[in-house]
Amino acid sequence: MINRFENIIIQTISRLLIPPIQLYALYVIAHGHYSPGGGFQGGCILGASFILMVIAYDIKETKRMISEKINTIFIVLGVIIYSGIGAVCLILGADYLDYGILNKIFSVSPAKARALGTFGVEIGVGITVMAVMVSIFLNLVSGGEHEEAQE
Amino acid sequence: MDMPDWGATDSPPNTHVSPRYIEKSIEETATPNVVTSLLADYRGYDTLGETTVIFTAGIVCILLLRRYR
Repeated sequence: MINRFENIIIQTISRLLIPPIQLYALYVIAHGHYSPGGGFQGGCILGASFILMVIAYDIKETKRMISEKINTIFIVLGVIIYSGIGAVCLILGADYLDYGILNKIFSVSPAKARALGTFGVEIGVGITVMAVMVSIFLNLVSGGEHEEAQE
Repeated sequence: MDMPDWGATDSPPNTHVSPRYIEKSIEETATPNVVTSLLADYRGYDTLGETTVIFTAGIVCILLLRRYR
């Protein structure tokens, strides 16, 4: 067992860096329409910020921010958002994942409704990727115990 | 009869599918980034499958590695 690694430099730099990293991840997800990026990339960056938190502090500190229960719910929630948007399109009378029909809800042109549907889908992908990254890292680094990192 | 060369501009996928997406993407999906509109809109099923793969990987890692005491 490795004891908690206390280093004031690493912890201070991490505390300064983690909020901009998370903000940048949200930017990458939200700006996927206009620049390279999207759900997978942004979700990875968001997961990396939590992984940095585990490395700089410890698992207990990180699980205060994002508990295991919430994280597991996030894993499922992303897929539910994605397939739910597809199912809403199906209910409104179009094909599955045919976002153009969403203009019945949002009162915009079908092209804009497609952009909105794409955006919702990216959010779902980002949530799932973030939660899976954090979950896999925590399980691997602690041997499945989620208490402290093992040697 | 032969396979088209690598990156041949006159092969069937490059003569009607790609120009169709490049020309119509902005007016059909209002998304300036063609890659995003392709991945999440035209090929929505594919991305749903990719997300499900990630989801399955995460769930299986929890099932295999997590130890409750």
